[in-house]
Amino acid sequence: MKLELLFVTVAAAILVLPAKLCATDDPSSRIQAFIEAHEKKLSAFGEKMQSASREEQRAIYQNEYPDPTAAAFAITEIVKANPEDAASLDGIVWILRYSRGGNIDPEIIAVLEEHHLNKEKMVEVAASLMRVPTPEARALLKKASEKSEIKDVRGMAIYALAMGIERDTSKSEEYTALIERLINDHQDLEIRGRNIAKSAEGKLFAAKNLGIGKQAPEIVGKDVDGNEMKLSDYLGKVVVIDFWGDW
Amino acid sequence: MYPHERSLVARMKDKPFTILGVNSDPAERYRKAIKENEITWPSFWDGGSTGGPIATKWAVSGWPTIYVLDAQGVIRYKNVRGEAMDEAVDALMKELDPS
Repeated sequence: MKLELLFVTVAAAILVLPAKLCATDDPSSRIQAFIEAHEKKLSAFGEKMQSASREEQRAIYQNEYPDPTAAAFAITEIVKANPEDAASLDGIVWILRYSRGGNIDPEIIAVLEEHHLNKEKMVEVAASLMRVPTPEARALLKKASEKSEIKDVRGMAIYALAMGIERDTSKSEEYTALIERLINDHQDLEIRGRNIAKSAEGKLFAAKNLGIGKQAPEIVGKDVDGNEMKLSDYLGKVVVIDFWGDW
Repeated sequence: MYPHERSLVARMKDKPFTILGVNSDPAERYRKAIKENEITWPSFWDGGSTGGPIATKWAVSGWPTIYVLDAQGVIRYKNVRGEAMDEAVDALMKELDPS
């Protein structure tokens, strides 16, 4: 028994030793090491998927997609120990990208709030938090939308706050107010080359005029033969408006 | 979609009801679709693509998108399909003629 215990202890020490050695490295290279290791697994996975047949692909995807949980957990620990470090923000951006709107450690949110509100990368963080419904994430976005010194961070935080409640009909007034703020103050905000305020204008029109209980806005147009027609021609009838295409 | 809409239109024949389409197909395809699927109800033709002016103004991002309006032109239901569309229409017809 005692021998076994000794063996386990020695084995544990051997395992822990490299980790300790690593700990002397700066947070940046440690975080990068985890990210690179995971990206390597991802590209190996991608190659395997590409060379597999169609039938095999589904099974490979289900069973072998590299789980980012362990790497995310390790990076989270480094972030907590080095909250102010710029590398921690990189680590958080990576975690958010792979968490796919899942649960985010509230401590991570606290780190962002305390140390990184005024950094350019918060734009990407805000975009990632769009689909994270936790109160901590919403509170962080609200703070970023009001307090960040960087204009695009404020804009993206407003947009993310709005998108998070887009489908919640009980919050349509809050949604409309956010979209109006975006259109008024952030005409230049872009995400992957797409102008946010411009697409928001359509959403605002919809929020204001196309809700249940609203008078439907007039439609004036033509049929396929060029004959003019308008929606108000059908007043007095129950109308099913059907946006359709034959595809 | 087509068979259900055809039967709804048939059931509402001679009643104050219409389906009003907003079509996003190229003109030729639209003409063909009307013929092949016996589409008798009117449609706006929205310029031949999903980026047409009406769909854009109404912020349509998925097709089909459905709005059901009462006789006063007020939006009462959105994106009801199949049976839910029938129920919505029936409820609004009843408002119009409670008997």
